[in-house]
Amino acid sequence: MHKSMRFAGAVGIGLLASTIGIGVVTAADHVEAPGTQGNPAADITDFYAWHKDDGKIVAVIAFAGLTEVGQPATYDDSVLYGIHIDNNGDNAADENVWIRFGKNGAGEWGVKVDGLAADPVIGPVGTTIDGPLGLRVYAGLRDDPFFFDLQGYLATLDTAKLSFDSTRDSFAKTNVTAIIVEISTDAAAGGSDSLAMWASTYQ
Amino acid sequence: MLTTTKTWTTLFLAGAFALTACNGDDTGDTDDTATATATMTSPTTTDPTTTSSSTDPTTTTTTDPTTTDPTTTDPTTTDPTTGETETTGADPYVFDETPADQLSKVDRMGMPAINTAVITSKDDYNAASPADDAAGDFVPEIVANIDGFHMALDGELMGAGLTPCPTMECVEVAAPFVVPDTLKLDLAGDAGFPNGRKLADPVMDVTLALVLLDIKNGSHDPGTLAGLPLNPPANDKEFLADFPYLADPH
Repeated sequence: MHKSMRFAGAVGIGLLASTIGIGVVTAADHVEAPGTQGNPAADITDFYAWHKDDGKIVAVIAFAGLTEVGQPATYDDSVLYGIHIDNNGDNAADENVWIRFGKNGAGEWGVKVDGLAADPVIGPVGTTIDGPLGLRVYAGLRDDPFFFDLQGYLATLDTAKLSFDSTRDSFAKTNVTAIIVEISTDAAAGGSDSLAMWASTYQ
Repeated sequence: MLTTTKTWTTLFLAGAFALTACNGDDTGDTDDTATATATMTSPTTTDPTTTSSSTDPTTTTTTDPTTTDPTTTDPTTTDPTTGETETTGADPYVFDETPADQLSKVDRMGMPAINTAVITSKDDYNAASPADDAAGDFVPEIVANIDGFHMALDGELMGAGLTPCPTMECVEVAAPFVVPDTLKLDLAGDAGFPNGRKLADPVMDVTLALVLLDIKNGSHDPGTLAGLPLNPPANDKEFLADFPYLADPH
């Protein structure tokens, strides 16, 4: 679910009316927390991770949600992105993949990916980059992969009436900036069959 | 797209055991330390350019200046005052090198919907870690928010022919997936939410079912709302079969 949806804010009709309030509800479009408002490059909208039968795990960090058609991707060289993997069940990261954006003298954006004991992979945004140990990277503007009737959801919480419409996707025809990495399952898993993964941003 | 009811039941039974383990876990402080250590050490141990700049900046001037491939990682210049490192080449990209432990955490996400849906102290949650989750730091507000949903919507759900869950039963079913806030991958099983999260998975309808409906006693399964469907069942653009999987922008 998009963290932009302010589920708890809208639940003000329930227990939280006095503590969450109108401001949060009306901001039900983009960021999930005060600290990410106005900071789209650091505001993760969705995180995906799945394993494939070719020995790879795909991880996706989407951010800068609800980018309108025609608007560019969002890159910020002050934001550090992390994809974290716990492969021994202690809720701490055993492997990290770190991603940064940076510009060259011509003002073109590049992306750098560190982690999984491989040398950093560096290349331009908007193109697939192949690195060592099966690492594959793409960063750039993409269709927002998330689909949900946010309008109906908010109406449901506002009115306490089920108001969903399965033909209404509030995130249709909007874009995100996304980092997509494909990593070696062996390198990530450390021999384990049970992984926990999450994403974070630092600035 | 949806896992069978039998598989769901197996997953949730397994989850119930995990929840019990979570509640009995009082090792949050140790996990915090482990997280901080991993965060702090990984960027430097995996980035030789950082090491060279912090230990002996003068050695960077000896790097072969004839290399022109912008994708190489050999440094030609390193500014030890800023920590920024240029790669070689005619017009190299410049990246900030500040490691995570010298920055502030802005956001984090594992499972879909958690901060948005069931967390009240949103900034604190983003600044926290899965170890904090597992220590139970946010369980009271998760329970309070799920309770809020039921106060508002149980009558409507019953009117629609659905059976809502008592709040604590929903918490019992959902908590193993929600706490800690990570995507769990069982590499021995087929991928698909909640075994990881694929692009096309109907995660919102599944999440709403976990939070709202009686699954513990078998009235529904996590796929009930997706089967209606309650929300759009698919993305507006078709996903790509191959890397990078996400559709081209509009």
